[in-house]
Amino acid sequence: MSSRISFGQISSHILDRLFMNYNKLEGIQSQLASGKKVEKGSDDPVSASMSLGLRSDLDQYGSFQRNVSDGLAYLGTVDSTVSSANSVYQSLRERAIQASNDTNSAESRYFIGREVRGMFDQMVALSNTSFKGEFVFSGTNSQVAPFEMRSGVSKVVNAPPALSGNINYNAGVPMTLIDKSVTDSKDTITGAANPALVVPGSLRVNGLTEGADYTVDYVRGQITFTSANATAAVAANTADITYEWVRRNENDLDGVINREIEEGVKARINTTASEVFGSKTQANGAFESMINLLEGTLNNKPDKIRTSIDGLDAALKRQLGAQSSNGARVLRLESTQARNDERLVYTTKLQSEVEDVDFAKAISEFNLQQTVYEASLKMGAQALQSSLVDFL
Amino acid sequence: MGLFDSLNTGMRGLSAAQQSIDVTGQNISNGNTEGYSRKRVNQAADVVRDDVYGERGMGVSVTEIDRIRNTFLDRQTWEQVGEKGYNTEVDTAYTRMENILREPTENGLSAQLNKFWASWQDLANNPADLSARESVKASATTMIDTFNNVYKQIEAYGLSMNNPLSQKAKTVNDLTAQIYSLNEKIAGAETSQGQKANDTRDQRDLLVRKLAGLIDVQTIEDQQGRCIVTSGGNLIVGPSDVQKLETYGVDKMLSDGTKSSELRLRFSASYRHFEPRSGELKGVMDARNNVLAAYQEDLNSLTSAIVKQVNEVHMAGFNLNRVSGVHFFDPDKTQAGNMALSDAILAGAENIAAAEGGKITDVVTLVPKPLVPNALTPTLDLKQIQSYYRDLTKDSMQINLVDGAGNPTALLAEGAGKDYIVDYEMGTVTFLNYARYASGDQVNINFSYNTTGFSGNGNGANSLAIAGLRLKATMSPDSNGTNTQSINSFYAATIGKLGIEKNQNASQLETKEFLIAQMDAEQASISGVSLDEEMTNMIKFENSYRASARFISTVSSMMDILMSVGQ
Repeated sequence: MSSRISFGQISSHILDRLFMNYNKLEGIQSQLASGKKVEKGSDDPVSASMSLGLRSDLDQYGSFQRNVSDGLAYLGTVDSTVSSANSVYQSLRERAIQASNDTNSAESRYFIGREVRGMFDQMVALSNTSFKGEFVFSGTNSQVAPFEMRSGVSKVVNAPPALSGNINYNAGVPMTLIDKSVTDSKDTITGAANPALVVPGSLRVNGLTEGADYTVDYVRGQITFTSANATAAVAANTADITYEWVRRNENDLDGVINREIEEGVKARINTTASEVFGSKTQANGAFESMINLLEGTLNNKPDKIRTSIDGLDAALKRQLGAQSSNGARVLRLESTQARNDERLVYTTKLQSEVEDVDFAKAISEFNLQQTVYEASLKMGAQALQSSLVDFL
Repeated sequence: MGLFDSLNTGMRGLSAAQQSIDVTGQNISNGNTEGYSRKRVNQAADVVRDDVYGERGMGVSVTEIDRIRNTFLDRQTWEQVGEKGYNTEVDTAYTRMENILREPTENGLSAQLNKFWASWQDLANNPADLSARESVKASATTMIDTFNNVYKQIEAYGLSMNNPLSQKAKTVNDLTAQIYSLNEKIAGAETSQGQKANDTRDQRDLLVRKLAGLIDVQTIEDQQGRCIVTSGGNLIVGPSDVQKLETYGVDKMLSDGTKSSELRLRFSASYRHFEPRSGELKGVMDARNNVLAAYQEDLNSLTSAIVKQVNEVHMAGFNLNRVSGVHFFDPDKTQAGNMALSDAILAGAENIAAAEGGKITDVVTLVPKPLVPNALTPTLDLKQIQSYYRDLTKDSMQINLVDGAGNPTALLAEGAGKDYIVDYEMGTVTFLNYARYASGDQVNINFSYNTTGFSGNGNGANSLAIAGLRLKATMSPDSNGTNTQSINSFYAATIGKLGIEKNQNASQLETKEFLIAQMDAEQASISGVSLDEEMTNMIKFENSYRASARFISTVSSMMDILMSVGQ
């Protein structure tokens, strides 16, 4: 143990202690000023790295919350559309039952038919409901309408070439319509389309009469010429057919749209056109039934009306199925939303525990360090003051 | 022995007391001089041989003035000073790295990474929306900018180290030159036993200590009192010369493609490369070559993982132009310093592939196909027409019979026992019932087939897949090759590592500082000037001076008495 203590020793010792205490004071002061325990990685490497993870988690929960609320809005749009479709189906069915009654005259059936036509158009409009500019019933091909009302033109000619899109005349045989007005190939349909779902009451052939000169299979889009008049019209090159038809988009409309609602959990939010309106290959599609009903009422064909009632029953059942599964999706998203909210709260709390300063603790520590610093200042000032010189 | 001898004894006492007072004065004056060691006057009693008593006192003489200092402690201190210099420089680099990375904050890289992933989630909600696409592009650009910026700051910091390196090398040369000239001075002054160049030695020790802070220093003192300094096995200050250091540049390619120069050290005479073992110079070089390089490498593995993973998923998806196989990031620029979006994405946000490939249906019309169904070739294999004409859509087949003039004559019926059967999976049509065909008949076939391709603008599944990369383990493979870390956790680990390394180094630095303070205190207790002690000495020497003077005046009056006897 050294017995000699020199002046320089005392002064440097005092300075060292002062700096050390001041550094501690500065550290706590900086924490108090920023409110953060961890400002730099080196403040607490484990907490810093944990805090980065928590921030990333929080960010992701935020994304999930946005996904869920977006999904709920989407589901809401689908739900209101499907409910509207339900009331249209109900009215259609009422009209069909009313019209099927044989006490109806051809004329009164015709007027029911006019009404049905209005509902038919409404159904086409409902099928084209969109959410943020995207068709909700088109699956992932959301830029194309699932059903589209088109005006078609077909020309029946007596001679080839068949490639031009004309229909080659063949008396007494059902000829498939070829709509020359369809030219776009963007939606992967190549060439002219064969229209199906032709709207009854809209088809006209120049100078010819339905029933007398030709018959039409509206659902399939086929026409059969049966009279000499028809043959003459074809020979005179005037057999132009105009009609309206519902174009069912040829693309795959059954794509599933999901939202990621939790880590790795995807929930479906869309309902496809097939689920609400029936698919191309299913019997009793909504539009097929409506076309039967239209034909039966406008052209006074009770058997078609009866067929359409069965079809509408099936369509109604299908639509209710779609509505209930949509409701189940809403419930799922809502419960996830609540869970995500809780998780957001817990994680925010944890992040605050990791990152934020405990003010009560920090302030009391600050006071302690301040006292220590002041004490060391005072002690230093007094220790350096006196030496033997003062007493000589 | 006569009175004159006594007078002489008194005079010697006076002289010794005066020298002691002088040294005390010197000590007091230099109480605050850096590196000063207190001096002490060593005295010895002078004696002469005496026939009667054997030995007789002849007063006092000053034998030497001693420098009170523990040189062994000095050497230990120098070593610690070198370590401290090293840790200080490395600490500066870590602090700078922390400032560049700015984590955890709202603007650091991790925040940008999170925004990048979140933008893909948002795009998945609105895959056809151009504004959501632009927002992905914008968040990616911000992330890239941040990576570029962080990397370039580190790079610039590395280059800025050229400056301290050459300055510190100059300081080393300065110090060694001064040590050499002090060596000469000391060797010149201490030509015989007992002569000590005490204050010059103090100065030299101070210089060696400063040198030790810059490079590692080993010293030996030769017989003339010269301090021979070696560093890392190289003679720096020799008995007859000084080895000067200089810096030389080595070409370094920067991330932006420009070339720059990185400085290293060598001896100016021999051009031999010099690598110090401790001290600030080693600290600067290690900070540049190890610390900065390691984090640059981490950032590069991060960016190359992001570029590779995102591109891989992105290329599998389809964009609004119905094209797949498009890169999101430029695949050739995987470094943090040059990472960039691909040209396609820069050209337009519609090229972002948000959609997953899916089954799509294509409609084909083969009209008219010059084929006559007959018993010899009953089966028409559509795959031979186009290899992807398989996996046909059920019930999509429609075959028209066309006569020789090309006019459709009938719609053929599908089914066993009818006109034809179709294997939808294999894409083959087998004709039956050959009897109905006349010579020259042909068929006209319509069908749809399933293929993989663009599944629609409303599909955001690929965007979701990219957002999922955030937490997918894609980095740091273990010994089995299984990836253990995701992009986000790798970055969090990098930040954690930086903090831990900085703290390790800082605690080493603190230890060194504490050790040095202790050693300095120990040295100060040996060689430091204590005013109380010097004051006590001053009173002591003053009294001894006074007493010697009194003795002389006594001898003088004795001589007066003697003189008066003779009168």
